[in-house]
Amino acid sequence: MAVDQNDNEVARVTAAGTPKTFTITVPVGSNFRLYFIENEGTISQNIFPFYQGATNNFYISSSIIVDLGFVDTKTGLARPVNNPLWVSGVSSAGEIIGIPTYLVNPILPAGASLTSLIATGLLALSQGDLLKAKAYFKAAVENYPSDSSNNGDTARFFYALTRVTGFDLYSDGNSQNLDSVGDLFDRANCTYGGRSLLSLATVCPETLPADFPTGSEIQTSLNNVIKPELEGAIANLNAVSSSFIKAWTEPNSLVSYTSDYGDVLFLKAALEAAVAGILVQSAYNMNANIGAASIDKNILPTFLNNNAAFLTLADSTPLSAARTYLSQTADDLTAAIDKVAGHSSAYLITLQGKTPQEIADAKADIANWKASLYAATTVDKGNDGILGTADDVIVNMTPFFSGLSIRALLPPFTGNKPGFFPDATMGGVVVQGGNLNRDINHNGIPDILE
Amino acid sequence: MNKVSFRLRWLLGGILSLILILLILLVWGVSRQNEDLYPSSPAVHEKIDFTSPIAMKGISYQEITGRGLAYSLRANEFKIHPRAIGVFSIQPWKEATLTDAFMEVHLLTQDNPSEVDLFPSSFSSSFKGGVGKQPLEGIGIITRLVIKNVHFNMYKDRMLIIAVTADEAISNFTEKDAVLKGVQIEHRPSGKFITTKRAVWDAGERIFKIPGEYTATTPKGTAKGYGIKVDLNFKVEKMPS
Repeated sequence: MAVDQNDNEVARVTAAGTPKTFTITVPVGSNFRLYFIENEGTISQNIFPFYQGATNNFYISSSIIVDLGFVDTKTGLARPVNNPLWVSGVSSAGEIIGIPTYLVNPILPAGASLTSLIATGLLALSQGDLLKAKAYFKAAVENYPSDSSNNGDTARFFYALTRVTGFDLYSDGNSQNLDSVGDLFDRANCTYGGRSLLSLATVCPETLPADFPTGSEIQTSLNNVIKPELEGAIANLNAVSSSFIKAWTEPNSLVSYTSDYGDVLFLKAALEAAVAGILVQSAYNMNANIGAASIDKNILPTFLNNNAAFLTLADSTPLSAARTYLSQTADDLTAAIDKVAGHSSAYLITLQGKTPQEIADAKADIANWKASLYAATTVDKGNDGILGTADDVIVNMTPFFSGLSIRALLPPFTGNKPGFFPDATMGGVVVQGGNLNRDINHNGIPDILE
Repeated sequence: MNKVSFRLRWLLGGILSLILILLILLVWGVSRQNEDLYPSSPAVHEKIDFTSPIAMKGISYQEITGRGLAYSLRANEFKIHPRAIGVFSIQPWKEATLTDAFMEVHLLTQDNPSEVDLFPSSFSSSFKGGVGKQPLEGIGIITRLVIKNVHFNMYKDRMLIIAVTADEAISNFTEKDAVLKGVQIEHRPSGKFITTKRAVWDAGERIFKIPGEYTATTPKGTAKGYGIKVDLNFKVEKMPS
């Protein structure tokens, strides 16, 4: 596909044959860019901007034929064997970063009915086009906010599902504000093409650039970009009624599954846990010059030494909300188990293969986890043998949610070798049982870290 | 240059989950200690899995070149089944399991053992479709391969040189690494062997990486150490600290 200086589509052709070939005609006397769309309309769709060197914006001054030769997309960009800039009449007009938005975010028909928006959204979803599906479900929710029918619930559930799975990874042309996930790829100097969520083909350098966002910048982006999207999805799910049920074609298996309120509860629990995670990390100092540091599992101690405040407590305020979200996660997971328990294999989420005892144990575990958020709770009853309750594991997460410096609880390192935790109770979280510094083989490394 | 480098994945996924993982590790870890001490009866877990779309008893795979058998794999059972998230099964999210797998590589004098891969690409490509991000129609995504009870023998000129056993090996296909648990790497000609709780097979470097503690046994005695790399020539190197 060819677009002009203003992102308007000027030509589009379909490559055919083996190997695939094409001829495209572009206007003389103006700038244009080319985009190669691979596996269009499928789960593997990818978009590759055409580049010669650092040029993706070309100017043709006269009517000529340019033979590009073989065009390779392995690097996440479409690069030709034959250099078009060597052809008389073709010149560089520089680089315009990004993909035209309408290539990844479709323009929706005006006045579409709720039924039609849902049908198109589900079709796009079955094809793996998450961004298109998201756009249609979003329109369905926003255009029909008061619809209380199963169609309304369908729109709300699938908008929640696609808004958290259908992140646009393509560049928006401004990576400095970190207002999109694509900005992180840009700042990592990944190539601008091949950023399909389900079929990633973008290529990133082995080493992050020096100006890669700091830990604080990423933390801000998580709070300002990701968290609102997750919270929005939770709000969508909160508005779904318990009678919701819908059969749909899942794109990975192309099997038709049924989703119902059990899936709503499960997804909500997952999103609430994710929001809790963002809130918890926002309570801590996560600042680190990630670009300058070599993030590698082999030099974690060096990283920690270079970032002395990393993981120290910065502001305990968000921890209370995080605890509330985790409590809600437990409630929704329990309700999901009850709702999903009778699901046959026709449903997306099942408990198939689990015995009644395993299901009861899972619910008891969740209840204990929830209780431990607020008070000392036995989370493992040990063997209940001659030791009685002496080998029970009792945990109380209250000290954590009151504010603990995780940095102070980390073990010391000698090279890559971790030593013992300075406080085996982890600030009073582990009330009884479960010795974090247990070292059965006496090698100086807590067994839990081996 | 790497497709979406490890570092970027670390950033995108790691930062978000770091704190939660610490929480989970903390409580899960201490409760697991009791599980380790009082393992439940295996019989409790032996039941028919009605959710497996594919289950085969007794499978074999061979690569035969002009000079004869080059690679073989036998397993008592192969299954594709939903990968559990707690008690939940999300149907399109699957894992493949091989049980009691016996793998053999046959080399000739001129072959270099350090070029051998435990899971050759031709074997991995047998799973193509359904692996990682490549969905398999009617099944979904096979997110990983779990091999329970692994036996790997490497022969050179029909003589057994390297014998590797592991309680379990896990490969997620998309990474070059496979994680092995309960591992023994034995060099038969010298009678030396190394045991460790956990090793990583790096298919890129064709080497075992043992980041944690290991026990090395030779005819002269036993020694313990920490952090080594071992290749299929049984050449041992210290891992950088």
